[in-house]
Amino acid sequence: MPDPGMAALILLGTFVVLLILRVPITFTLIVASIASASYMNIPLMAIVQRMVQGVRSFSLLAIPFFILAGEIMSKGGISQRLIDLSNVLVGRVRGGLAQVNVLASMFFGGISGSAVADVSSIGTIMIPVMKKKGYDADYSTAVTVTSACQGIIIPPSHNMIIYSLAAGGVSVGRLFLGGVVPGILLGLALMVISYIIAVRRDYPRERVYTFREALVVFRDAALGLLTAVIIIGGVISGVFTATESAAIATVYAFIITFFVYREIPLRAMSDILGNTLKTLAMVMSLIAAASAFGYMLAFLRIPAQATQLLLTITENRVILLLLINVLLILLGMIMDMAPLILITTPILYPVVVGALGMHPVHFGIMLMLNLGIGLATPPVGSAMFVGCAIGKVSVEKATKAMIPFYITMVVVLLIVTFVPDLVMWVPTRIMG
Amino acid sequence: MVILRVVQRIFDTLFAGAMILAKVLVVGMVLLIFVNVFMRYVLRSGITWSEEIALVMSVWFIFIAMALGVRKNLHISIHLFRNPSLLFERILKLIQDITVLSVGWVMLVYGHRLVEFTSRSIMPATELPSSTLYIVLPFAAVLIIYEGVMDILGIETDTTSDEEEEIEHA
Repeated sequence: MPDPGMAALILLGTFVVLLILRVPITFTLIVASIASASYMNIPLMAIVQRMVQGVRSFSLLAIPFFILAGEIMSKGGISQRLIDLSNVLVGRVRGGLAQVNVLASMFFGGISGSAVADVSSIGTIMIPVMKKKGYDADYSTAVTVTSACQGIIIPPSHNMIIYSLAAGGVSVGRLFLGGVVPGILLGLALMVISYIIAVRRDYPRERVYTFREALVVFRDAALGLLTAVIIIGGVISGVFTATESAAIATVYAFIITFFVYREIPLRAMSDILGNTLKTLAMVMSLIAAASAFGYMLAFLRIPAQATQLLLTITENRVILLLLINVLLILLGMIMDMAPLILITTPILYPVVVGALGMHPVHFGIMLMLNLGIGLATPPVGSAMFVGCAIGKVSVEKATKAMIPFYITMVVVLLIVTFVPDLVMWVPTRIMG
Repeated sequence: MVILRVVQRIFDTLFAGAMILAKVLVVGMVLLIFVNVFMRYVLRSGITWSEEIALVMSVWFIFIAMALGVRKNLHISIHLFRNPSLLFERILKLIQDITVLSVGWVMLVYGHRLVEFTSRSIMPATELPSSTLYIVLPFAAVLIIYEGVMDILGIETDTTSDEEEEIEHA
């Protein structure tokens, strides 16, 4: 009779060792599952079948659609319109462009749930303009990168769908609504800190728009922002499933981009599809791999053991939540978002939701916030790398400039962790 | 050498086909779901087989994308070692290739068995054989194994690079 403890060691050991040896995460997950299943005499056909069954899910289809819709919108000129809209709204304050940057990212988050897409599309426009107007390059990069991480929390967000699946079917509508207040809170906090720095460094203001100009800007951006309304409205009203509303939003984004905005030719669609494919190849195969891994985790009862282990350290709820937050931030620093959601959810969910009684939606938002911070931190922060490349600043310099922003993000994280009503108020009000 | 070139040409065609298929599948899924919603609300009758086919398309897409990801080095990994020595770099690469190859092998052998195993049962809505779902596994596996072998042999396979990639690298 093979020893389950040994099998768990094989599973986790293979995973960690191969990960350190730079093997792609997708393949480390599969090989670790295969190794551990072989040891336990589980037929490998079951593992392969798990991979297929794990991705044979209707709600999972929303992920490619969201990513495609976001890609179409961001290539098709929505970024400039969102920036213009933000400029009308907040450009006139001291350090106006920083405010515009944060607000545009909040809007952008309503269309795409990808922080990297946000940095590359808002950042390529904003950072050069900010530098030209006398903002420091490291500050401009820091504002862009940190504000991009809101996009993950502001609905819709494909990462929330990944979480919903990994957690065994948490309501996507509730998760979307749960992200509203924390997302806005994070945005406002980042606006405050960038304002404080802007006043100290005496950054310029932007001009005030006339009413007529503002109206045109509004109309242009509203067409794009309607994508978010379709997705969120469709999901929470129950008229469409998340997948259906994502498909509708994709068709809508296509029509707006190619027949209304008309900034890119129809043949650009092939490139857009190619780009979407790049993201999807990584995200979707990870989900397939993680289903095999998750199956072995559950089979070996590792989540239950992890819960016990954590509870032996302390039973104090506050300390445990703090510990979990620290753990997630540290993991977020070295690993990307999607794999972390897939790997940590099955392990931490029983602890946080089961033992500590946190609401699954609340935990989801806390997780997103943690991993969002990770995207903006070295040594492995995809949003940060893209930002530094655009701003032409070194990671070291950008990191230094980001310290006040990191502190702001962590403060928001702590507030969100310990004030559940911030997350739960909107979903409870709207969906009961 | 001639055989190698023929094999390379065959796989280049297969990968090009896979790339087109993947794009078609994404667009197809969007349209299928969209049309289904439209028919349900406007014409009051949805397409009964839409979900089943969309899921088959999605599974196909994902495993084809996995293979394309190996060719185009899209799968993310963690880079903990800065500037490893040439020898160490080679060892890391070899471990990576062996891992990828073993995944390809398991997908090929057990994917094939799954296809055989499920070929007699049918899916409820479309009455297609259940193996339709799994048939993509051996196909993707062959592509993955090819990439793994070529990588070990040190032969660069992906020579097509679109403009965007060049810009990103710059």
